[in-house]
Amino acid sequence: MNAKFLQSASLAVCSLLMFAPGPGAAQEQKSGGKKEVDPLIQAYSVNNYSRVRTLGAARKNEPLASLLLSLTKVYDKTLSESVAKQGVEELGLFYADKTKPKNLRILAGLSYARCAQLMQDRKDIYGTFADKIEYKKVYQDILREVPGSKEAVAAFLYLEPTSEEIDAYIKTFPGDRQLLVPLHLNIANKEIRFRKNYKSAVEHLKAAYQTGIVHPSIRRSTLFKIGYLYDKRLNDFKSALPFYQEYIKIYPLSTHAVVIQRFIKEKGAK
Amino acid sequence: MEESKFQFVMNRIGLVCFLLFFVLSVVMVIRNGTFGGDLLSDGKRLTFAHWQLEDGFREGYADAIREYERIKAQEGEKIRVIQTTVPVRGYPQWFLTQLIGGDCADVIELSGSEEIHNQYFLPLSRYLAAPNPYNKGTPLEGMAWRDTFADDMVGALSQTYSEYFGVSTFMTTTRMYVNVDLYEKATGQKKMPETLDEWILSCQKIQEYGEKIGRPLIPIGVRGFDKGTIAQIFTHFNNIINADYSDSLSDYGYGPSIYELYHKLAVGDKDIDLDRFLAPAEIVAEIGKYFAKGFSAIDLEQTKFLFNSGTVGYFIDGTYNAFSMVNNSNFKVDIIPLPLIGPNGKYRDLGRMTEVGGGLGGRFGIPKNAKDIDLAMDFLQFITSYKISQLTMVRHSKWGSPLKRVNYREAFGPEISAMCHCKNKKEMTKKEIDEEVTLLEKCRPYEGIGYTGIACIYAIGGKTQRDHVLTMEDIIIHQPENPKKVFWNSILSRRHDLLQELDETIISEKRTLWNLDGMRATFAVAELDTGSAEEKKAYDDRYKLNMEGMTNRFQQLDTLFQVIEDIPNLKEIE
Repeated sequence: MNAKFLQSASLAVCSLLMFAPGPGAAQEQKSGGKKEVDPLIQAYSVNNYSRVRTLGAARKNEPLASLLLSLTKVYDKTLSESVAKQGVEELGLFYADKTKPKNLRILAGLSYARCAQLMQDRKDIYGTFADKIEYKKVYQDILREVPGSKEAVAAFLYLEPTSEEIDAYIKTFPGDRQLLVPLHLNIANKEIRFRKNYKSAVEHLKAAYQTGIVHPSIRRSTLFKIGYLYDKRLNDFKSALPFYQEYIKIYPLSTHAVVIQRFIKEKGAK
Repeated sequence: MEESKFQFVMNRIGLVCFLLFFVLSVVMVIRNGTFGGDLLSDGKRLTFAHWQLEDGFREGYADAIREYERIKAQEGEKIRVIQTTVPVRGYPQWFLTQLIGGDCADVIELSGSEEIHNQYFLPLSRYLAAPNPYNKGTPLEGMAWRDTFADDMVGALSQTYSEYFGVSTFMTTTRMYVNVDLYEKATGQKKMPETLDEWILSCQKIQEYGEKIGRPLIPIGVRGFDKGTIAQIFTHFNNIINADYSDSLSDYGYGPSIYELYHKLAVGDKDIDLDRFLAPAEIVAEIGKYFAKGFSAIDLEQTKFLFNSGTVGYFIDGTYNAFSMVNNSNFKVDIIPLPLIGPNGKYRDLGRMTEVGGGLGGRFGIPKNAKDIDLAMDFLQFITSYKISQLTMVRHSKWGSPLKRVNYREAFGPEISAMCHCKNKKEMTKKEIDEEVTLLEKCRPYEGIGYTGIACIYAIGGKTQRDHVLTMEDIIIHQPENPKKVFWNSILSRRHDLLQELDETIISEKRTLWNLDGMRATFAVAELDTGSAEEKKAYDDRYKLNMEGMTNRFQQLDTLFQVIEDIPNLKEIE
């Protein structure tokens, strides 16, 4: 009787537990209503690397899974340097394999080259592992293969170009102009740092601002910076004023709006 | 051995009790866990957790929750919101355990690193671009949710992950609390000190008054243990004396970084005067004469106790303590800003710095595995709406609201009063309202005359910076003849440590570059297959934002390399 009683009690408890969903259940139910996204991509897009490994293992013969597994080895910070090295090697092989889909190859190539570049700069950890990787060549290939893409712009930026090279690139870039914003911002910094060429810097900042900076704090500081450089470095308050006024209009209650109001007051303008 | 009848009965009772408690535990776990109210009650259940145990905070949110449940009930939805508080000391551990356990509160105050936020929290950017529906009919109606915050949420953006994971719920700044009774008795006057000289004179008088009545009085109470007050006073006077350097010193724009400042000093730029940057050390040394003996071992709670017991004349701390400082003292407490320098002749005085758009805190986010993300988002928007912020922050906590266009008096008007259910809160006399509004107005951020804070000369490195504050503490204790010289030479004597720290910072920046590239790859992969055009656009934006942010890191790395070259060239004061 005792055994029977215990059996029924455990069964009752187990059935109750079986009906209780796990913590992830509610999340899984929510995906309805939208187009189904590849769960592997979905997991990678939220940096859920352990899920990528689980899902990827079952599909490792697919190019996408193979790429994401290698990217995970490289970017998952919980893994050791030796795994990162292995990931870089795999990305290199993926990139070199022309049978793989081009868009995935480009993704692999860019990460491969960038990681190799950063590894060469961290010899304290990676030693000479990446020394033989010609990352610049990979960047150049990407620039040639997909010239108007966001990967091409990233590759170009990673090449650490000079101001002249950036200028030339911007003029001929065939893709989405908004992708060029980081180049404008970068060249503006370089023009100030190496040449004190405020005129050129301000032109690039204006170009970045007018093209449309996505980063909210950079967009805001760039607008202030344009006015500031005109006013304080080029002694051209007249050109600064519209930017100051625009800043006050867009961010009326910000700290820098108060500063700008002082600048305007000091010049006796309204 | 055969069991006796008594043993048999007791064993069965034990077994039944065990099973009963087990079943009860299972029921409680399900009820408090993932199932929420769906299974065992007739409505939805939402959990809300934070560490703010200060006066008024929980009470304010209790009223907000009541109002939320009422609104939802009117809409035909039965919602129950549970507020949980955990003391700050154990909060980081509790927070992390909850997240890893996968059954975290639905709306929770953020703690920990950006990595944790990215891993466990819902990205908010797509929600922030739309208006907060609960701001309808208020001065913030129609504004994007992000733009309703005083700093436009600039401070809330994760630079590495190009995302927002939390929204702020309060704003605080620094003020000085004055024991008015003691001040008046000691100085014989009612007018509060406005200048450095007046402040120091009043401190002398408090000291003398203590000797006269035979009671050891402390003119200035400090947070000595965490060195908070020394840094606050140094920063305050540094800003007043040096803020105008922000107009001219940086090559890149308004306001120099500490690295640029060191670069200019190292190259002997004639536009920068080291003596001006060291002047605050001299002032702090002078003010420090009026700290308690053994001040370096006194912590915040002890100082608050000493103040509340009437032993301390002035106490400098955040406005988050204003309400409790006033309410827990059985004497009149005034709240004043730290004095300006005034017509002193020795130092410059640029007036009050602007405090607008600063000091936002208390960020709350939504875990990715929240039971009902839409409901959690709705509640987060509700608690950060204009009226509820008036109720929770202004009316109850007497803290600043993180939102734009705050009207303190409105928080005591009939609409907000109708939401108040705490004892003595609903019916307030005009006099009581006036007193509370006056208190709040004293904590309102100053607009100033257009200057903002500038880096202090010692604010470089991490550990070395803390060591420099210890030097300042030492200067206060030993009162050397030339505090500026001692302070600067001590900073330079730690060159070796500083350079090591800067090397570490460079390594950390390089790691950040790696992480940023990782995020670039993440957004590129995410764009390969998205659920909707809106989602694709969001990933495209995050990709661009990430790349734009990267240019800041390049510049930062350049200045770091530069400052490492510069530091050996800095010269001691002979």
